[in-house]
Amino acid sequence: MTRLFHSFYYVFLLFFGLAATSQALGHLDNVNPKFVGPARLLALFSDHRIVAELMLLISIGVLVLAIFATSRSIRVMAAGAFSLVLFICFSYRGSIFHSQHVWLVTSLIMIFIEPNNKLSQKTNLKWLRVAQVLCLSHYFISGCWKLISLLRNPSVEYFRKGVLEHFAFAIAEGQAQGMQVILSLINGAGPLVSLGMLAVLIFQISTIYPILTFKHMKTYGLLAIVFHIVVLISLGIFFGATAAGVALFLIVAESLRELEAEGSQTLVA
Amino acid sequence: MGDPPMNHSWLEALKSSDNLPRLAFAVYLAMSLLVVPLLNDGDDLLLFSDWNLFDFNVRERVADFTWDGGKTYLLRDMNTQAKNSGLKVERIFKSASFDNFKGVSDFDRDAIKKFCDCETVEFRWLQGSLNEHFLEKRNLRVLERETF
Repeated sequence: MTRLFHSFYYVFLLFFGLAATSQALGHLDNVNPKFVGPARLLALFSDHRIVAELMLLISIGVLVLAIFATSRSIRVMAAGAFSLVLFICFSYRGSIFHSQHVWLVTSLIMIFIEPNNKLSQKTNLKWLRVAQVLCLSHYFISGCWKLISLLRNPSVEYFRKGVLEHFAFAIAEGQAQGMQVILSLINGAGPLVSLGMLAVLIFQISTIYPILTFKHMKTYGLLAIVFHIVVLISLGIFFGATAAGVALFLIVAESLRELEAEGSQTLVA
Repeated sequence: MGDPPMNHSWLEALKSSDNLPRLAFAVYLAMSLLVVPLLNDGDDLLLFSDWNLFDFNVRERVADFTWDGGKTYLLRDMNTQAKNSGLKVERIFKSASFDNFKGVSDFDRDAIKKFCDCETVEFRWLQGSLNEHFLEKRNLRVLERETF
């Protein structure tokens, strides 16, 4: 089961590494003067595209190896390659794309999950919990910032304005193509939109429960995916990489672990 | 008989702790809510981001581009057409509003001029929220302007 999980994981990691590189190539004609860290390395070369393609090839090689490898050093290399791709590509923007944070963090944690042991084995389970907790942390921290802004300005009017800022932000980013339904909702059903955002806030803050107790991981995985689908429909923004990471760690891994446990119980019986 | 030898490091001790997931969460929380915002000016720090993009704060000023004295704005009125024509709208918005006008590269400035087919374009900081500019489409007071 753990090997199966590793295979799933590294196929997805490869896919998101490629997606990140492809996205970053679109930014190479626009070197942000604020760029940081490893992006300075790329500035040393005159043809950025060649370097990026070389990196891509190296990354593919390492990650394909990782699918078949059970050795820890290969997994370290895979995590390193993915981190390098993200740090170099996205340091052009001055930040790493939020959607990729789940994969960046988990690529490091996967180093410690041994494919030859069961997912429910003590050490593997501990690291799986670390990965799950950090996946959910992103929602909790986002909820904390929402709560902080509401505590600074505690009024219904400010909350309504804060909600509308998210829709305005989506339009400003050029996500307006799918916005017609929402614009009519804002005009005709403002309270409904505000209630929806209140539900989002409650969901985000309540992730502290599975984070501290490790219970209801699958339920929160499903809720997170529903949340991403709602954001896609309402704002035209899809955090596909995050949703895939959450599905893999909170739903697939948890189901595999339960299957292992049931299998062990049957054997004992 | 002395004490048993200490053959594990602090890292081994940490790894063997049942609280490792909660400890990792505490570190992540502190980095995102305190260290990155307070000590790194909100910029990403290796694995860590502050995630405050998803708060409820209402902005006090908004950046946009116009070429006809404020009747038409690039990001407010023409973003769909601009995106369809190949203009990197998301990048331009983020460069302008997060990094200020200096963050918008020459490449993107030229692309904007090509899109509007005009000699000069004006970058403006307007006093108001994103909501007031993009949804309510109010005529906001111009705080700063720069022509290119």
